[in-house]
Amino acid sequence: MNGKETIVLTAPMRIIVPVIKVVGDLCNMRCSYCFYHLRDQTVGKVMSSPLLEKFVREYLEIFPGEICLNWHGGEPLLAGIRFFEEIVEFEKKYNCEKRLIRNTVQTNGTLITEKWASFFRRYEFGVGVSVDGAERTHSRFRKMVGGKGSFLRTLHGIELLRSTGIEPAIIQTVTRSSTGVATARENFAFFFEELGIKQLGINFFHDVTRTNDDVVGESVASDDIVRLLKTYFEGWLARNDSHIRIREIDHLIGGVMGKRATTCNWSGSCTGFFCLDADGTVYPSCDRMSDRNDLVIGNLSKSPLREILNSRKRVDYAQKVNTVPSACHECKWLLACYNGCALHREESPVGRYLFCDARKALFEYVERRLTELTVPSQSIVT
Amino acid sequence: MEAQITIASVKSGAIRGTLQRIAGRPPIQPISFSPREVTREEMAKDCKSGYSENWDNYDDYNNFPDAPYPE
Repeated sequence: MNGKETIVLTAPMRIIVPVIKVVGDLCNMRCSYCFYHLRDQTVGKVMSSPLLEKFVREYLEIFPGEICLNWHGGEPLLAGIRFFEEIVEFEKKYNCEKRLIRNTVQTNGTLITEKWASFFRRYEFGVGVSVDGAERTHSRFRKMVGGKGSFLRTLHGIELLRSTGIEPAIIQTVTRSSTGVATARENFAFFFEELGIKQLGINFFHDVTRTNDDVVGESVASDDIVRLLKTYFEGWLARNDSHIRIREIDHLIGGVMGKRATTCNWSGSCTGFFCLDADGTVYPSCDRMSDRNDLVIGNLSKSPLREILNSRKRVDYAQKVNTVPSACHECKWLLACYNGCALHREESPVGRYLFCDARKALFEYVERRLTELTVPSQSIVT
Repeated sequence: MEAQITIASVKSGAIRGTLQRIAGRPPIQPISFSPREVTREEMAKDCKSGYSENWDNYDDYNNFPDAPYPE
């Protein structure tokens, strides 16, 4: 499609951002809702040192400026600290332009030790930890391999991070049973009063493949999302702490105020990402699509990264994902939504966003609440 | 879409904080999703000095607290 020294961008981002599954699907937990539940998570292979070096070298050659490398799993800490030391070593080796490289890691927190925490602090890794809420919510689905809940181990990991000065960002996975008002209030209080977090992002569970018997009835619907986010929004208003940031509320307010969102599934930038699996397999969007063998666009152990990212298959996929249904063009909120996450679309990844009704209802709700909370006589432009 | 809502006119401190945080973000506007072939030099020109047309949003993939753009 293009010459040797160019790259094809398919999303409104200046580069393509990697999500790297350093141990494939391998994990020390068995979360009931995990989108890898059909895969064997007992076996894993740490990405080889030559493959890691090839990736870092080629990625830095292709993309200029500040970059962000997202180290994921499975559970990425199972790769061992030596692997992460190699990441830093390769980055130093190939970062000839001395530009800013941001490393982020998304972990379940249960394997964090003082050594890990010190490492992340020393090399300024951003650390995201998955916590679903108070213990009865969290441990219901987030279980260790042996079946025990992971709550205390995860909290211990957060304590260790904080002891080094790292304040982790929290990702909450929400299932239907945690969207009831009472449970939502309990979890909100846990996050912001008990745990004292400042940054929360919410991932909504929907069993796309309908193959997971452990979570039957737990897929959220639009009504569930609306109920939960209204509860959080009102709790956040009541708490009135300007330092607390809930990602989804940020995007709802931003959408109402005419500001672009910063998250892929609110800004149409699904194909601004790619996923690199531990064996070199490359997928055309984030790790959520890495159970889709039909989407594989190449293997880094066999082909140059540029060739894979420029492949016709990736570009064709991007054009499908980026084409919103015709009804979206009539929607007031299109530019603040872009048809949501490609994983959660009817006939994923091409159809209507499954939670379209929730988005519309929430934008309308937040717009009304902002208006109610505004002194009408003033009009100072932000 | 834009209501007459401003930092100074909103009674909630939480919302004022949010409005301040997002103030530097680019406005919502139609954007092109057409595949575009770019060189490394062209990508470099588009590197952040504040926001650019082809802005980054990867910082929020994991919801990290200290986004690398001005807020």
